Amino acid sequence: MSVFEKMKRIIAEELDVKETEVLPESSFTDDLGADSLGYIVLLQALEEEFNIQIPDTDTAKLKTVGDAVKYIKDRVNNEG
Amino acid sequence: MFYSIIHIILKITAAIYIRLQPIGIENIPKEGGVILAPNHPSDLDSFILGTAIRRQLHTMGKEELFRRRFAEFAFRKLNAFPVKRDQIDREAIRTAIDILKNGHVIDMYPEGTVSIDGSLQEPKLGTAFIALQSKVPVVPVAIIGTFNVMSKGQRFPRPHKVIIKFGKSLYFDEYYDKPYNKEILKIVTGKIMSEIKILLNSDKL
Repeated sequence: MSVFEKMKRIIAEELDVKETEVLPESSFTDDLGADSLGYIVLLQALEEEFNIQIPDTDTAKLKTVGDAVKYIKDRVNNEG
Repeated sequence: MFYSIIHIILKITAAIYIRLQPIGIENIPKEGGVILAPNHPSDLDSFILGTAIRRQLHTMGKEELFRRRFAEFAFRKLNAFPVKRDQIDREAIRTAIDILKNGHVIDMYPEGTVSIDGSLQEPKLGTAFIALQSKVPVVPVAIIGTFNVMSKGQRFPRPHKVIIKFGKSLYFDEYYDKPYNKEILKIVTGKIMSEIKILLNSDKL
């Protein structure tokens, strides 16, 4: 399963949206309804799924699903 | 050891200086993680609350308090950990959840900050969030009198009687493991606040 596919499943589960609503250009806050606490829940789930730590200094870069997919791919590749 | 010594000193001081009277202390579970959720009339609330209970209290303190080396040493020994204000501090939230999952007691103020006039303010959702994430009960708490001991901006405490009432544990199991939902957080927060209000307004001693 690709990073994007996994991410779609996690976002749908954690934010209670349909997988079909999760697009690479979807913004977590504007399109997927994550407020600041919802965003934290999502980051935790991503950290667990991909076995990485996402420092707070990086979270400003993760505005859309596409940003997060790219970030996770880079991190997993660099660390794996 | 440091905690126990300070606890005894504060207990004696509190008995004389503020005639501290805890009520319903048996409502705090004897073991396991639990959140004490009080109103917040004074900067001294966590110290006084920690003095009133038998179990060791862990508490969030604003980051500025940890800047000096001795203060940091002392606060850490007193089970305090820093939280950045005016932003969501993921590290502090993680720390709080870990402490609760490890079976300890934390005080979390649903209002988020000390009340300027001592009255209840609009709550924030952080306490409910941490309660649901860590899956621990919440004990509502009413702190009465600390506003007269030391209100916001005041530098030295004055003697004044303080009563702390502990309500029955609130359990929110039905909301565990659900997708993130702000409405649920509002319901949980509302329940906690209404119990605090009942304790504040009840005459029962």
